[in-house]
Parts: sequence; structure tokens; C-alpha cells
Amino acid sequence: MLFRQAKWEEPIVFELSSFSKQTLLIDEEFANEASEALKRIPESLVRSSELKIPNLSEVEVVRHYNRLSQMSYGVDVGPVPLGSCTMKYNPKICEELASDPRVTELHPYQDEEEAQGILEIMYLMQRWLSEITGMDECSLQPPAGAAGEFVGALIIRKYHHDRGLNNKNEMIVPEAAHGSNPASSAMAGFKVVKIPTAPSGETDIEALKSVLSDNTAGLMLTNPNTLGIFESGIVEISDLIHEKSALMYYDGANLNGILGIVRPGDMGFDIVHLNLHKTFAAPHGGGGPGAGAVCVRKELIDYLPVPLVGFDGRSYKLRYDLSRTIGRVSWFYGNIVPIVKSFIYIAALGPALREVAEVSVLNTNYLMSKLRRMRGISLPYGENRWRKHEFVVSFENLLKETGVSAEDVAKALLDRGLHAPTIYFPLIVKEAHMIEVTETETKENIDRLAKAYEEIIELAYRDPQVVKSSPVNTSVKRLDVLVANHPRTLAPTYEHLRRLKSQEV
Amino acid sequence: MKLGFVVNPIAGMGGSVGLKGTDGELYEEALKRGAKPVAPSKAVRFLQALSEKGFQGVIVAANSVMGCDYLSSSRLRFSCLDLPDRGKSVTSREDTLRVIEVFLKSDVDLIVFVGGDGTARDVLSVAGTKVPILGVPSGVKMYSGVFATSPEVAAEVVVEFERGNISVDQVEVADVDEIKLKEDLLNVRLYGYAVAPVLEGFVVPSKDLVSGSEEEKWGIAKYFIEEYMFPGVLYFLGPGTTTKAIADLLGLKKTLLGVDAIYERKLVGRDLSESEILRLIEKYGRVSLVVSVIGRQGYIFGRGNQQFSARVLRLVKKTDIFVLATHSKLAGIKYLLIDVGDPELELELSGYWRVITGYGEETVKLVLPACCVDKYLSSGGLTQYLKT
Repeated sequence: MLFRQAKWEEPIVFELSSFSKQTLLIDEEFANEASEALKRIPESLVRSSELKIPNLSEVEVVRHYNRLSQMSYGVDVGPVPLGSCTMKYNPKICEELASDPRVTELHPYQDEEEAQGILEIMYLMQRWLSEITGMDECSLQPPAGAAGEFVGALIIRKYHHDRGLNNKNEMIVPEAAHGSNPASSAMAGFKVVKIPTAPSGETDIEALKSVLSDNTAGLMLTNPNTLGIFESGIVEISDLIHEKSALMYYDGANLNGILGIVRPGDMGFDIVHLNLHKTFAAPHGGGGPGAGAVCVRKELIDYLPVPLVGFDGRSYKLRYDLSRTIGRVSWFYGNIVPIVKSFIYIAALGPALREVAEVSVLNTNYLMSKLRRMRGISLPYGENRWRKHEFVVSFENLLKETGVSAEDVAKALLDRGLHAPTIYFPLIVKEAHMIEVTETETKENIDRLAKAYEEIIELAYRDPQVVKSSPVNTSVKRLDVLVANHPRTLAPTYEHLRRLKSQEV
Repeated sequence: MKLGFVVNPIAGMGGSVGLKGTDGELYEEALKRGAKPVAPSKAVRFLQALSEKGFQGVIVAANSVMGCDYLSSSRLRFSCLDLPDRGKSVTSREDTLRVIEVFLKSDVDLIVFVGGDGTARDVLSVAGTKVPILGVPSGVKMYSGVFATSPEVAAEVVVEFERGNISVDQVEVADVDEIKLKEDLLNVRLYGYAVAPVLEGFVVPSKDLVSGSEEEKWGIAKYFIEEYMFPGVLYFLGPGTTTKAIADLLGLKKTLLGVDAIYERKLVGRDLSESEILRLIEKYGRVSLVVSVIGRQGYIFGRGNQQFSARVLRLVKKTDIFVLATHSKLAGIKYLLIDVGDPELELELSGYWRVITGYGEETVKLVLPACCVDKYLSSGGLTQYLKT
């Protein structure tokens, strides 16, 4: 399949030069009206300094962003098999409804009586997500997945604190966990204890037993784990943790493997966070806003961040009456847009949510069975087990035999018009490719992906240098990761870039 | 960039004829047994890969069999030293030392040597940490961390280093006492630390930023001091850069390769022998041992820290032994090993240990007895564990 990405020498929007200030001439009468209107605003509220935004005409702006979009790639262009990230298609009906002014223009201080519709959506989401996770109540506050984890870790801390168990200062996290788990634990003041993965691909229960003590505060676990393997000993693990009066935390960044089939609550978990912007089809990967709902068991409802949305049989209200709440984690519900998108997604699918899991698991195992037969690829951990929503292959043999690394293979996929999977994660697998095709991809697309892997591997054995110099068909060629990630060159904002250029930082 | 290049032409000759090295009289023995040189072909492979990968710099090479002979057919830019003398058929350790001295005088940016642990030691003894060192593996034993995994990888590292894409790190230079090895006694000694370019860093996905090892060591040391250092306890710090970081943070001058003792944040013993350690244990009563992981095989006792003998370990509670290691060190090590020549004790100490791997972070690792890894694994619930 031919693929050539557009390439424009496109400066950033602040550095686009512009000669025309306007393309639409405004009639004098209107212009006067604007300045009259300004006069009616109190002097103290009128900006006197220049706005630091580019001064461009509409046509320049439209062209600029169209060019950028031509040089970009996303789920709306082709498959993105990004493991642990669940890049599924975002239905356009959700986009359309969520961009309704009644959602986007709603003021956070709008009287509750006049925002009943939105509150109802939030209330239903709290109910539905509780049902999906097997919990009793949810808070939709956290604006991202890791923020949800952090909330969970804070709840665990306060829960023990309230029981006078101040010695509970250790959070157990498997080595294969998402990197944000240890980070969230550390942020909440816990010591992180990492436990290894057994060759079966499951948590090493012997190692877990060896670290349990009165200091154990909780265990953060993803199930199925990042290898895509379901922890068959989960009930035993839950019992072990609960025997120590510790709590079970479920990292539900991705529910695609179990949706409608099994619930964290049934496995013995006490707290769950969900990334609505993964499993529930809100877009992500652009820096937000995300939505990392946190759901808990009955005993922990009081600890949730406020406000929740309550219903008294007549109207919906924001609830602040949680006696042990950890407080607010966002000022407002600015993440209402992804919440609405997920609401529509769940509402549209209804009981068919289960099929999401079934199809994504089927897709995963179909691709895995093709890949594992290829030369240079191995399948570390739990070799004879089916995976759930994702799987991890290792290119260690390919690297040894040809010098072509997991990164090189990923770059070569880009050259074939396919997004690369997650690479070098989880860290327990050498030369890792973590692949998740989700339920979105058709069999034809999965075959295409498998064929691309086959071609790249064949090329690696025949002419490794070609693979190592990929990508060549993309608008941006191979970056030097060190330079690209270096604080001297990496600029998250234009202001920072300006400071870098003028050597102020 | 200027690259110093030196080959130890006799390195690794013992391997094929069942010798554990070519140090001292072993070289004569190797010749007698009909050993053939291995280093020259490794040197050629390295240089060929270097030129293919587009090395831009200049090479300063030792004379004849120690370097220049392998360069003449390559397309690389190079100049030859007049050391060693052309006519010399057998080169020696002194030749290597003199070549390295000249390298330092000519301000090379990196020294690449072809050899084994013995060569690494010689290079280190002159270069110290002034210039980064990289080994092209051609020895019988390569316990040191300065070696790339193959000549081709070594070339890759040099080119990446030239392009400024990789950083340097402190790595161990270790060697086995070959005379003892002949009697099947494995006695690995730690000779010191060299600075080497390291290509072991992961390509880091943005979700998991791995910090540099220097920072990791500071984090580990700071955490240890805050969490596990108590008044009234004597701390024995074993060899290594991670344990040394603890002393550095406390403003104490610890020996890098020895066992030192700290009490109430003061040094009360330096470079201690086994009997001195035993005496101090008797004197202070409450003691803790702090060790790091030595080498790529994962030894925590019995390599480079033999002062912590079986007799010492019998006097210390398992809960008073702390193991420190950076993630990069632990990566790829399946289990840790104890080798103190006392199977009973080794078995007693085996099981899951917590290794301090960062600030507020402890990683569980399996510790096994070197005496009887196989027996141990087939005896208990850990059979499944290491079947992979």
C-alpha cells in the first residue's frame, strides 16, 4: 500500500508572517458599534496591553492548520495499535453532540436548576460506571487517568489514617505496571515496593507474600496486566491484601479486555479508576482534557472528591455532604466534554458493550497468532496463554541476528502508513512491542499490519540498513530522541520556545 | 573527534585451548597448546563496522600488531604512534601502558581497546577516569562493564558517542585471579571504576522517563540515609559507586573498592579486612551491612566484597542487610547470587529480598545460593520461577 506523507515547510503559527490584517472588511457602522461597546465596559476591566496571539487573517489560519493536519496521523487516518493506550475510533456522533453549545458554553457557576440536563448525564454516568466496575459510587472529577490514580492513592492514605494505622506506608506495585502507578503512590507519600512478574506472565504471588506486612497500605494492579494476561490468582491476591487490612486498587486505564464480562468489584477490588478517554471512546493523546473517573466500594464513598451529583427523586444537585472527602481535585467539571462523549458511547451500545471486549480480544489473539510465528519475534511470559486486549512481543532475537531493534521496526511501520505500537514498555520485556488493535480495526486492517511486520522482518534479514534508516516516507524523518527530549530543545509552549531562542533559560 | 585505538594481540588466546586467560605464564602455555590469535579479527570487524556506520573522526592508533596493521586496508582517517617498536613480535603489558600514556598526551576523546579484563585493567591503571574507555570484547573473561557486546555494537557505540547521543557512566573494571582460576577457585576482584559510554539506556517512551544513573544513585543514597540509618548502629558499606554515594552525601571519604564502616555519621574504619570487620562487630554489637550488586551476574556477596565472609554473615541478621542497585544494573539480572563457600548459610539467606532501587522505592528480587542454584530451584516452589 503506497504511503507518502505531505511535507510542508510550515513555521509555527506565531512565526507566520502576515501582511493583511483582515480579509473581511467591516463596515464603519459596525466598527463604531464595537468601540462604543468597549466604552461601556469599566476602564479597570479593559485590557491595555497587546494580546500575545498571532495576528493573522482567516485564510492563513485555515491553510496553516490544514497543512499541519496533512502532516499528521491519527485514528481518523489509519490504525493506531498503541498498547496500553487504546486508540479506538471516536464516533463522530459523540463529537457532534458534545460540541453542542449547551455543553461547551455552560458556565461552571450556572444555577443547578438550569443545568439539569448536564447533571442528569453526570448522575447517570456515576450509576453506569459503578455498574460496569462493580462498585457503589463514582466521582467524575479527575481530569486524567493518572489524576484518577492519585485520587485513589490519597483515598487509601486517608482511609488508613482515619483508622489510626499510620504505619501503613507501603504501596505494592508490580514491575509490569503502568509507570504512573509508582508515581501516583509516591506523590501520595507512599513507599513503593515493586514485585516481579512470574514466567507465567502473572504477578509472582510468592514474591507478593514475602513483602506483606502491617506496613502494607495497598496493592495497585492492572488486570488483565500490561502483558494482556489475566491474573488468574486475583481472588487469592485480594484475600492476601485484605487480610493485612490493606486496600486493592484497580488501574482501569483500559477496560477493553473485560468490559461486560467481569468486573473489578467481583475480583475483590475496593477502588477503581477508569480512563473514559480510552475504553469509552473519547479522544485522547492531545494533552486533554481527559476524564479519569474514580469508583469505590460502599465503605469508601465518604472519601470521594466532591462534589458528586445526587438525585433526590425530583432534581439533580451537586453534593458536598461527604464527611471524609479528600477534597476537590479539579475546580470545576471542565472535563465535561469527554464525559458527554463517553455517555453517548455507552448509551448507544447498551448491552452490546460486552461485544467491545469480545471483538478486541479476538482481534488481539488473531494478530498475535500471526506475529508469533514470524522469525526474530518471541513472546515472553505465559507463552501458551491467550491474551486479552493487548499483547507484548519481543524483538530481542531480531536485534541479535540483524542489528535491527524494536525501535527500528516501529519506524519502518510508520513508513508503511501505520502508526507504531508502544515500544520498550513494559520494561520487563526486552525490545518490546506492545500492540493493541482494539475492536475498531477490521480483519483487513489487521492483516495489513501483520503483512507490514512480515515485510519489515524479511527486509531486516536481507538489508538491515534500509530498516534502520526508516522512516523516509513521513513528513518528519527519524528524530534524534536524545536531542528531541532534551530540556534545551523541548518546548511545550511558544513562550518557552521564545525564551530558549533568546537564551533566557 | 579523536579516538585512541589499541589492540592486545594475545588477548583471548587461552579460551580455545581451555585456559582461563593469557596472563603471565598462561600465554606460553596457550602457545604450547596451539592457540591462535583472536584479537586481530575482532579489531578488523570493529574497524569495518566503524567505517560502515559513518565514523567521521580521526583515529590515533598504536603501532603494528597493536593497532595500525588492521587500519591500513580501511578507509578511516588515522595516524600511527611509534609505539611499540615495529619489529616486536610479542607485546607486553608495558607496551599497553605506554600507548595509553601517549593517548592521554594527545588528548583523545575516547579510548577503544581490543582485549579482555586484563587489558581493561591495564588501560584503567593509566587512563583512570580522565578519558572514557570502551572495550571490544576479545578476552576469555569479561567481568568488567566497559565491554560492548560485540565488535559491531562497539562501533555503534563509538558513532553514537561521536554524535553526542549517549552519555558516559561509571562502570566496574573487574578481573578474576587467573592463577587461582586454574585451581577452579573463582576470585573476582574489583579493580576500580572507569568511565565508559553506555548504550544500555532504553529508548524511553514518554510515559516512563528513566533518569540517569548518577541521579538514581543519589536518590537511593538519600533514601537509605533518611529511612534506614539509625543512631547507635554501625554500618559497613561495601564496595561500589552506589554505596559510596551514601558516604558522599554524609560528606565522608569512603574508599571505592573497600569495605568502610560508619558510626553516628562518622567513618570509623576504612578498607577493612574480614578480621577487622569481625572485631568491629564484636565491639559495636548492632551492625548493618550495605552492599550493591557486583558485575553482570548479580552477585551481592562473594564477588569483589569477599571481606563479608561467611563468618561475618553468620553474625548479622538478614533484616540488617541492605542491597542497593540502580534499575539499569538490575535490568536483565534474573536473580541475585550469594557465593560465600558455605552452602548451608547461602540457603538460609536465599529467598525474596527487597533491593533499594530509588528514592522511596524498593524492588523485590529473588536471591539464590551460588552453591546450588539448580538444587534450590528444583526443591521448592520456585521451580516454575526460573524455567524460562
